[in-house]
Amino acid sequence: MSIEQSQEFGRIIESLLAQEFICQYTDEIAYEYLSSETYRDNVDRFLRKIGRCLRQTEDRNTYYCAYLNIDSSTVRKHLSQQFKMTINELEPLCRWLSLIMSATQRDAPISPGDALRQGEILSGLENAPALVDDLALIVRSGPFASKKDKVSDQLNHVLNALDDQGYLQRSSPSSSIYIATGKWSYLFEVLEFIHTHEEIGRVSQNEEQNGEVW
Amino acid sequence: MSFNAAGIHVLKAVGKHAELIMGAFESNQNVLSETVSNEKAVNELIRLRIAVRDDLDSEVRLNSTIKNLLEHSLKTDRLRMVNADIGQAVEGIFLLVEQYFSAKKANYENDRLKYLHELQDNVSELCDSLLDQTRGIWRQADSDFSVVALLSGKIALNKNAINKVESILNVIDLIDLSKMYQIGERDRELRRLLHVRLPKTIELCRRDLSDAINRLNKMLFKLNTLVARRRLVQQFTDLWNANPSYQPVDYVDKIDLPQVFNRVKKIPLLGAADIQNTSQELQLSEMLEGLRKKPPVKEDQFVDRVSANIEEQPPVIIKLSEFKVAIREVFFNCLSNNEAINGLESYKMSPDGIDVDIWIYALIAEFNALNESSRKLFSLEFNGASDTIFTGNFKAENITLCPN
Repeated sequence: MSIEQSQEFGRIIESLLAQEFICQYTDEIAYEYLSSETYRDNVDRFLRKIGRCLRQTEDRNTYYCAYLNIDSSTVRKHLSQQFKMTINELEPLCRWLSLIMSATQRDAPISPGDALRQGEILSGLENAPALVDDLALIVRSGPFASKKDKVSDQLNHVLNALDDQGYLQRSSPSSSIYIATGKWSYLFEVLEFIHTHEEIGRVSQNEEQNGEVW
Repeated sequence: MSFNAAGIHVLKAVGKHAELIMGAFESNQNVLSETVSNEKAVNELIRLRIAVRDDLDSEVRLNSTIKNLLEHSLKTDRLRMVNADIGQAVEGIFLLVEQYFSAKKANYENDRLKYLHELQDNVSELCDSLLDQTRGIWRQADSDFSVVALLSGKIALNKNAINKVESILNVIDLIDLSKMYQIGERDRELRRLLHVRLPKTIELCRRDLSDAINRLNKMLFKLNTLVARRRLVQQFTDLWNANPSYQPVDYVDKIDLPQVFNRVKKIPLLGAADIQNTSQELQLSEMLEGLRKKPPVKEDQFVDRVSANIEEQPPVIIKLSEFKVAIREVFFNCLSNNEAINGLESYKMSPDGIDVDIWIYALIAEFNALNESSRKLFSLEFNGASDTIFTGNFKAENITLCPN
């Protein structure tokens, strides 16, 4: 392994252990590195030595680190903390996805690689008071809680929070354009799992039917 | 009006009414905007079959041929239906080939040439049609169906494109290339058309369409995924709107933990002292117990400061060495006696223990070290001869210090 490769290897291991999601939009070099089967195996082998392993989202666009053995109580404790954090994020993130679809008049939710323009979202919000209420609901509590009153400040706050949490990445440090990362793929996997196991669709359909009856 | 002049007249008319035609083309419905001022122009376009009025009451629209010409030249992404009637074109080619051979057999040269030209046109038309349809499919795939924003629309267009590709591929498969090869074998002109041009085009289209269908299928999968994700978001949002206290089941609490929730906890990669942590306090106390109580020897170094006051300093007399004095004496003698001094002869003035080489080099060094005004008083000559073989080398055996 050359010095450059060894440095890259170290950097990727550190990123993965720091709970980061690696995709072509967050770290193109690391993503290319992991796209090579040999290098990916090297990273996975190293992680396995310290009780962890490399995982990919189902769409194969994003890499992250998981525990190799989930039976120990310490690991369970960690996973429980992670799970609570993920679950707390779900509602505001779903509302945010819905809000963006309406504000930017997209027919599809945010996908990795999509560009979000702060100006475009803001003008979409200004034209729809209902969406302003939705944004206020997102910042009222939870991980995006803020006491800001102005719509532009609230929007800025949420975008910065999503940037901090790795869901978005600014196209350049001072830019108002944010690129969606591969972490959204992971979020959709979580949503899909819960949806399947708790039969969310059926619940909604039943409620709709009940609504129609009443 | 001759055929040629008539053709030119049509093309000129197209150029003359270009703005009107483009206006209709860009309106997306191909309808010409009729006003009192352009009535004459519209009538001329209808007369030349560039525009058509389907009924007396209907609007005037562009002829599809003109529309196709513009779409072809402008490479637009408009959605066109495929003219998949390739089978008919192939049948036409076989018929013309048959007639061509009949005329050839009967020695009707004019007829033979006419059929050949007709055949060439038909083959060209078929090749162009196949290539155009393939390019049209690729243009749609390349644009990701961006002409529409709705996912359902994109999916419908994607499926339509896949169907088109499949139907074109099916029709291409029906073209009996072995039969064409067989009938083309008997004639050099036909060989060029049926052995080279048409099979080459078909192969190119088949390859491009196979790639296109692969890409369209991938795109369709992506679009379906987006639809599923949109539905997920919608259903979850609806759920929270209906039941704000909804929380998913604690899956981590279950024995079989779903892998989707298996993510490592962040490991802090930077080390720092945790002053609140008392776990190693005992070990630290034990270590401290064994340490000596006698204070260590003071190892600081002190230096006597030198006064920086120049007035307080006594004048410093730099004492020259005996050797230096002897060298200088040679220079003084040279000046005072005003006579040249031989380096080797002056060696007798050197103090004891100095080699002759050192003495000579010291004289040279002293001469070189003189300041410019002092050096003007002397000249130094090197006594010796050039090497007999390596003539660039001058070998000095002595020096002479001369007063100027």
